[in-house]
Amino acid sequence: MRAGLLALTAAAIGLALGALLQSRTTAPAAPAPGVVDIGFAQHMSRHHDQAVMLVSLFLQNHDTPLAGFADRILEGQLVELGQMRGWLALWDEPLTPDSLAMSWMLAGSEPPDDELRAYLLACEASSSGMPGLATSDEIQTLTQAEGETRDRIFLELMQRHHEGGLPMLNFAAREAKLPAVRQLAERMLVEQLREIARMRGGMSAAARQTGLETR
Amino acid sequence: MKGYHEGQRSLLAWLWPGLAALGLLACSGSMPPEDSERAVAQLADCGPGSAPEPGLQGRVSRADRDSGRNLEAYSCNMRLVGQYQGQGASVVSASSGDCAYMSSGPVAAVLSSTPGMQVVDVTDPASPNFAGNHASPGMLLGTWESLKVNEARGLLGGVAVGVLTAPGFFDVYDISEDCAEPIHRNGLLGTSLELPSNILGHEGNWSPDGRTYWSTGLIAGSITAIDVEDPTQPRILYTGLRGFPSNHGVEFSPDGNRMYLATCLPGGIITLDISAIQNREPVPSIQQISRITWNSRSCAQHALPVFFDGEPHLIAADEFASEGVRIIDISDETQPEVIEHIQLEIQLPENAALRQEDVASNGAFGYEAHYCDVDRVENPTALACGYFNSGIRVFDIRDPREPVEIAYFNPPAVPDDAPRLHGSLHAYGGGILPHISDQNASGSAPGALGPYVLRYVASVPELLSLGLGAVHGEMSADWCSSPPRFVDDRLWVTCMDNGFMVLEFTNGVYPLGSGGT
Repeated sequence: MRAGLLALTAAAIGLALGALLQSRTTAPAAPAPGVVDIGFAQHMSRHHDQAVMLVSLFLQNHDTPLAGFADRILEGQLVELGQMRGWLALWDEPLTPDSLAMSWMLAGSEPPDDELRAYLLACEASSSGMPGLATSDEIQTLTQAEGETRDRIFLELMQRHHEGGLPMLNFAAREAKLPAVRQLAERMLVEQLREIARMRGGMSAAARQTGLETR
Repeated sequence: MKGYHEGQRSLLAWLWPGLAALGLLACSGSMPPEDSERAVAQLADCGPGSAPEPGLQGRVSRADRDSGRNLEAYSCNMRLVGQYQGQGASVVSASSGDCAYMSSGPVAAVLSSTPGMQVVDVTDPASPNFAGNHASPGMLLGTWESLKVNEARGLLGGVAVGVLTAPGFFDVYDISEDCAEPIHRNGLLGTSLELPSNILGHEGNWSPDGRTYWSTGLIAGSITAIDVEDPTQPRILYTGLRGFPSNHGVEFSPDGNRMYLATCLPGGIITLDISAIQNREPVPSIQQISRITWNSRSCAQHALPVFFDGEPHLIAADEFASEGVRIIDISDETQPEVIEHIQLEIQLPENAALRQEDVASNGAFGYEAHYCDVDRVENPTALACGYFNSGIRVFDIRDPREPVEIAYFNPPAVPDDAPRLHGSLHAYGGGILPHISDQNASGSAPGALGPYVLRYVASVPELLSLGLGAVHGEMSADWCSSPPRFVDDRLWVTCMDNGFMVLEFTNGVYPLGSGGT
């Protein structure tokens, strides 16, 4: 947790110093973002916010063999959050989207394929605007559970959370205008697929003890 | 006012050195804002019984601090009725009914014989009395700017903050039956241990209906919504929005669907749609509606919602850069517009050197506004604000574009009391920090902070030779950082060193008629 916060702080300071450097030189302006870049940064930040909350609440007063794995998720999400929010600040864009609509995912270079269409329909049907997020009741269930039950609920919620974000990552990795945004989306995709694989493996107690805890 | 100029939007070039745990230090980078034609509320006409400030409005001059004049109050159309100083108070204290609640902090937890929140019985306003202390985890660690009352449900809440910001606890007390005997509702199994632990706390406030307590963390951002439908079982509904700008004080529209979030670095206000949380949607999220900023190096404190002729406005205080108070028209919530900027004379840019001279040895905060309140939400007639160094100031705001100062009370400096003021953040901690709140408007060139910090460090041996001064600082003017409260045409206020006070208007300056000026 502390390492994650330090990383986030370091990222913010880096951005601030970068802006300072930029303000004192005549470097050319950074390329402007596109609709996909902005939409991805705003919606994926929202998605990451919940991952951070899930891990924080899961680890609170809970001695678990999953602590190391959960910490790694937290660090990754916080660093990525800092990067996306730093971009939004530089672009002078709101940190949050102005609506739940995922219209930015219609701004690709090609019409949506069947998979993307299905995802966008699922977004529309979801009260949260994107599938996979945990409900308040599920989060409450997590915080009230203890021991292995709490571990199992966490893995279920986090796996679903990660899977729900994959279509956004795929789309941004392909369609974002700025190379840095595409690269971050690609990196997140790899990380989250790896974490999903570990969580699937970790659903059994045996796998949890031999796999996730030592990551 | 004319010629209002919105501050630059350049990204922050600030750091958070551990040395200055109390506040924020300027590093370098963006230039001071090009504010021009700043308005100053008109000086009050001080009637009989007043002890007016001899010079600039709001100022306790270096000469007064050296001569001892500052050991007497400065007043204008206002007098002290009653006082309970006790152990002093931390940043924000609260009150409700006939009771006041003085916050404290970690120093009191160690040194005080009555640690935690101090309850004051104000049944007799001329003689407020100590009525007990409450040392649940949050109250013991210190609630900083989060100790707030919700009158609708009779609840008192606060998050543990400790030194500036901390992961900790959320305390909720029931004060509906007897305000002098708060009942801790979320202790576990008869102990003071409690859930939930908040993610990072610094500020906090209740939604108008009292069903939700919102906490913000200054460092690393974060907004947390805590469901308090059942005060014995609070639960976290949402947390998010980490990062810059730093989230600070929160206020709400009457229906609870809008949050007016004060931000630091830059100073400004963000309007957020929080209806999904207010309405308890299954997977709540929040959306930004608008944002206004005015100074990349300042720190808005809170933005109080009021209505003038039915049109919604915000009254926003800023605790850095002598920015003072702004009145913001939000009748179009997507396009907030500053319509008035209230600054005391001492806060004007041209007086930056005088400010430095006055407050250089009085801790982290210069002449800064902090928390304000109005006598009523609909067509308010009077605005009262607490200031660091300038006391309590009251303005006639019947015409929000032409505010007039009608009264003030700046309590006496109490340096000799400092050792026993265990609850005062000014006496313990804040008073020995370098003056950091006003670096932007001080006239210093950007980047001047480095030498400033080095000079401060170099002066530590000299400070140590001053005995208690090295512990408490100069203590040459009080810090009145709590929100004043209008009670039966009087004001209840809490300042860090003088503690809780009941103030009375004199010379017929209040109440005001409801018409325009």
